[in-house]
Amino acid sequence: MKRVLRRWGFLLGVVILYIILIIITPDLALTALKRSGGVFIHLLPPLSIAFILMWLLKLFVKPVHISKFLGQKVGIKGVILSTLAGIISIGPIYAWYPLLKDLREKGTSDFHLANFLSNRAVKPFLLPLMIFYFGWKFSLIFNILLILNALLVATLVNLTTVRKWITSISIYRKQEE
Amino acid sequence: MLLGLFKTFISKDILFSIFSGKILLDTFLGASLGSISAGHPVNSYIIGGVLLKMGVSLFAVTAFLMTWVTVGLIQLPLEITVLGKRFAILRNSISFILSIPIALLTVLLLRCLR
Repeated sequence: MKRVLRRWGFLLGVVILYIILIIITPDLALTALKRSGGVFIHLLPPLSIAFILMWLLKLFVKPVHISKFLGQKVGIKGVILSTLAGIISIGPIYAWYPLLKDLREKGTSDFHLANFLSNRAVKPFLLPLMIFYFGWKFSLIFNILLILNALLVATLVNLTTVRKWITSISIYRKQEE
Repeated sequence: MLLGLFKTFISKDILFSIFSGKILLDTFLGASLGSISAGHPVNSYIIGGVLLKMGVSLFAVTAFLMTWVTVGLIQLPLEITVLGKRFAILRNSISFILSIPIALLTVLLLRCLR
């Protein structure tokens, strides 16, 4: 039930809102519905391309691949792989949490986890839609900066982890002395 | 469906009373709006596109697009449970703070390219 609500809750909420508005102000509710239809028709071409790309990605990229990507812990290769894992991962974030928890328990660093989560903002399969709305120049700049931003977020999150380790090590050493 | 409601019930006057045209404040508001929203990124592009058409600045829309995915106040309790309080709060806070300069930089670079 919770899962169904998570998946369809938003749509259900909007439908309920429409029903309420049809009762209160039918004319405006009908205008809103017509406008929604207009938006949908307008969006159909880029949205279709986006969904085909998403379907293909879902077909070929499985969570086990992402898990392998994030498993690489060291060096530039690890950074590239956690970036790629974030970019190609699709689906709602809560669906990824069990995998992320598992990976963390197996030793994946905070850097890679944060990098993965931030890179989820880069959506190559939604590029047709982004270009449709904001133009290719914006899409290019925005996506490059998103990747750089992810690295920055991951570095800052990781820095505090390292500081925490250093503090605990120094406390441990003091206790030993 | 929600956009139809938005276009019908939210007038430009209401929108401009929220987004005043001040770059920093609008960017901050855009980032805040994205942070409290959740759902498929497709929705953020569509809502962002409509906001832009209605006259909201690209600074605000860019920050909104960014925080829609990178900051998740709604999912925060779940993220805390799975990845820990420190990690979740830190990651979301840093993502929110950085979304503002990144949005500014995106639009400024775009203007340089034009």
